[in-house]
Amino acid sequence: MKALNVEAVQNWLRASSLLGTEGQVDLKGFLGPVCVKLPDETGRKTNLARVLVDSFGRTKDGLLWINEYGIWPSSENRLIFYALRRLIGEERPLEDAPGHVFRAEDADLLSALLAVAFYFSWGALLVRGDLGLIARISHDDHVDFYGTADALEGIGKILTAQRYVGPNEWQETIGSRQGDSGRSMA
Amino acid sequence: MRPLTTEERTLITRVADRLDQSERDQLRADADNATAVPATPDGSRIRFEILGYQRPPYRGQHPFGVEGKMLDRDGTELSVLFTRMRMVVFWSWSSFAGVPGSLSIQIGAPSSYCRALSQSGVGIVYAQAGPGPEGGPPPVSVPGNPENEWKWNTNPQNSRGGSWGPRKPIPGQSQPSGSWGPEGHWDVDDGLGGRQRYRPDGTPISPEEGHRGRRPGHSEFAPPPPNWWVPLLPLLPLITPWPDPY
Repeated sequence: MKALNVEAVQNWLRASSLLGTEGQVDLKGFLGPVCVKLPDETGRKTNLARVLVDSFGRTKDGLLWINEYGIWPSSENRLIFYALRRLIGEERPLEDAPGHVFRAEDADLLSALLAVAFYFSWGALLVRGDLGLIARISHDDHVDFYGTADALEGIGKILTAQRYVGPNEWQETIGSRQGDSGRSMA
Repeated sequence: MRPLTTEERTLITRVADRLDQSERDQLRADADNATAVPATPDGSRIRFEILGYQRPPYRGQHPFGVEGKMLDRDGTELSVLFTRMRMVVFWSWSSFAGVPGSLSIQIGAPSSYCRALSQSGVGIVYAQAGPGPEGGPPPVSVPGNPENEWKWNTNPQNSRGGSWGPRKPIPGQSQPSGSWGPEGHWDVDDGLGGRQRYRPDGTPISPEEGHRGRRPGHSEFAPPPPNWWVPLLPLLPLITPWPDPY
């Protein structure tokens, strides 16, 4: 795993054709979003982080960009976050290096960072390396999923099986989005 | 008068990217010939002048729309305007309360938007008009300390550039804070690990309602829909607090 500053994050997004003209993430062309509320219980958040990493972290380089922080300061303890980042030799503060490029071998650290983001209600963008699946985590304790039809169906089955969404809830949401134009993946 | 900084040039380029081809090329060419001129004694407003530009006959300032928005270092929203003489003017638009009578113009410091550019690297940040440091505090009292007052604190550890906190620190606990989100609601931390979101009028809303303010499916910070004050733009020459440049 390697931490990135904002410029490097944008270069990554640009190279992935995900950078909009305003310098932020352009999610046009993806199916979605399918919105999932984060669970309240810490244990369920920890598990959800692992579940997402299983779906996001098993391909080539992906991106975790923490882009909302400090909004709920009394919920944060950055010492935890920085201790995790020191595992990769990263000493810069979050605001100077909010991005993380990860590979499959980073799954444990990625799930820990993601869990911390959930605990602190940070907003983040999680992009799977093949660009088939994107999660936008908000400071409002929700996750919006975007992706190809296959990828969304896959993560939907997992989240349903693990009771993060109710039975048929995911399919109903996907069904209502079928009119959107999906992005074809290479 | 001085040359444009790299950040200023970058910003103009980003604005140009949003224009039609001819407009884009023209603005880029203008930027190459532009100089920056402090327009107020304290440098709180800056104006870019285009060398060699033939000014049209006087017709007032005629701003023709907000071309872009960004947040400065303090979280104040800056509007980027073009006039017909192609000066690019930055100012912050602080009024949001929804009360037309409260319309006011606040001036953003040029160093602030430069900092915003270098920190976020995003050029122009689109956000709904919302209170920044000069735009007013959260519409609710300081949690747990209602006799206290809100005070703006710039803080790079906040992705919004800062937040409102109590003027008198509350001993023995983390400090409450409040900040305005581009989704269109206030986020207020009670300093005790509790979180509450509010509409601009102070009505509490749930996380679900707050999250719904995001625009699904498109660019994360897409340009906002027309705000209530847009129809008032033609009136700007009447309330502009600086001398007409013509």
